[in-house]
Amino acid sequence: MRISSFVIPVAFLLLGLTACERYLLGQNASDDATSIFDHLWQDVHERYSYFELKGIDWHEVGDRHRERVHDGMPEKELFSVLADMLNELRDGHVNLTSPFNRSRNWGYFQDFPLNYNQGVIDRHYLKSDFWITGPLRNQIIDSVLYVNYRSFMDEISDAHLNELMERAQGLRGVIIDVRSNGGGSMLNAERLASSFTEQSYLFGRVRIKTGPCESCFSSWNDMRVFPRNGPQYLGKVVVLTDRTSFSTTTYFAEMMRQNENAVLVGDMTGGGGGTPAYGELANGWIYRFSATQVVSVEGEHLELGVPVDFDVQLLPEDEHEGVDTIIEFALSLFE
Amino acid sequence: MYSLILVSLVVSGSPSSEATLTESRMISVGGGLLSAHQVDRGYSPLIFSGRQGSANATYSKLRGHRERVWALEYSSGTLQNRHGRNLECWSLSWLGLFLYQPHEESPFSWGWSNSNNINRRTIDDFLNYTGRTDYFTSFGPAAKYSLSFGFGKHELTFQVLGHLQLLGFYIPSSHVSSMPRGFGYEQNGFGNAVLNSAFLFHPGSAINFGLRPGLKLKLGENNSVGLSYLYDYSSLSHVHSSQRSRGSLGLSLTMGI
Repeated sequence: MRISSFVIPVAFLLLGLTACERYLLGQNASDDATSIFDHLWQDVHERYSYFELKGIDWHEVGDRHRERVHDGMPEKELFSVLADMLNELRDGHVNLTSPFNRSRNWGYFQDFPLNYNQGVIDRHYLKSDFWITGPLRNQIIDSVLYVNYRSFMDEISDAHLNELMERAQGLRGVIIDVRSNGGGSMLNAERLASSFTEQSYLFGRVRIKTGPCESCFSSWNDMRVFPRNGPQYLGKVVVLTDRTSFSTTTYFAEMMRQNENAVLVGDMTGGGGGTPAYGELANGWIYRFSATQVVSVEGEHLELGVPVDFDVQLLPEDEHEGVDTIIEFALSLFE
Repeated sequence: MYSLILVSLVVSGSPSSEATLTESRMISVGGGLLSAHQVDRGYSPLIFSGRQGSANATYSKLRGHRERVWALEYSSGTLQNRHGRNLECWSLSWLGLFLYQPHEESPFSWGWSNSNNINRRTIDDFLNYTGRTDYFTSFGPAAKYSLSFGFGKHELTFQVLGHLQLLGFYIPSSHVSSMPRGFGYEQNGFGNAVLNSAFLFHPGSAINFGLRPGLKLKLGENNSVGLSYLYDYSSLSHVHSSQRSRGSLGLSLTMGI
């Protein structure tokens, strides 16, 4: 056999196969404005979890905003239309992110009083000799351990909790201040809550979208707090929340609300009960929206916020005097 | 994706020689570079492309007119879409080929195949449900063409092997970018998780095929070194479909055992 009769067809075969690698996947999705709008609308339609709870007619919303979209429109104008559409979900877990802007819905706290003043806390409660135990800044005030936690994004380790629990022993109680804490890792919430219970307990139930229809969800699955191995504090605990306590912080508030030794003081949390799923548009912008539902043991949606046991607002006159009304009320509960 | 079983084809012995009718066993190891393209509409409507590395091992057994080949392949690497977003991927595949040569002089062998593949990817910039996993096991026809020829003092064998997967089951990623449904929020044991996650693999819902031309150079009695190109395509339809297309160029070393 002549080698040329072999090499030539093989070369063509290899070349042809190489060309097929990408051809079989087709083309990238179109990035014209109408295609991008339709893709976003459709994905939210199929995976967003709170249409029914919030009484949103997504078809009507889509029809109304689609009229504003036309191919060739400036990208910032398109961004504005998409952001307006997403904002109708009234959900703090919904964002559209582009290189030039990030849409958001902050109505869950901007429409309410601000019940937190970091300057007052730093100067009059934490003062200068507070302890920095990992992300947990803490100070003993009138034989009560005050703990200020700024973000559940900041990791709490076993060593941090061991130190904190040991410091709390023998004191009258513990105050956990998660006002203005916008959430973060669920793992940190579970770790912190596990420090205040000897027994596992149910604090909520979760379900996730499993299909495109509005009622397509998984079955409800239990969410529990488990006691930690290591030092704990089993005395009275007061958790301070406000409308900026969002997402994982809302979960933490509910975990503690179900703890018989704990009470919630301040303003109800901002919600954010749905875990956000993400997607990418053909023009590279990223979006996210809630794709799960979480309810309390009583069946209340955490998306709407966790109520407090004692509704206490930060009074401007107190704030002016360097007094945090909510911390003072919490301290009074230990008397 | 380079590799997939790449070498696996090369691995099988030449059925056109007298040795075809005797029993022989061979193992082969190899690796290569893969050019991979992937779309997962659970993440993005865009195509992610890039290079990956792969490694593979193959065992083949030839007895009379019957040949069995088992090939294991692993590949991993980072793909990127046109906006620079990364998709980290790895896959593990296990392919079984069961071939029959109708008569000694025929360069063709026919038979069936079984393909098993698990694919995992994670995407940058997504904080939740960032990982997606799917799996399939399927059966379908397979064929091989093998031609041996001399080139100077050397003995070469050209082979093309193809398989088409038609029937089986697959476990796609769930509706919300995450683990397959039964392994996420509805855990009731492994068996129930599989049942809750599995879909029938058939034309129209899923497909997988591969084509693998290769050339091997005989070195001594039972050893050879091979150069192969392996092409593999798979598509799994679900609420969000995923498609993969990859071609790998690799080298292999085959030894008789």
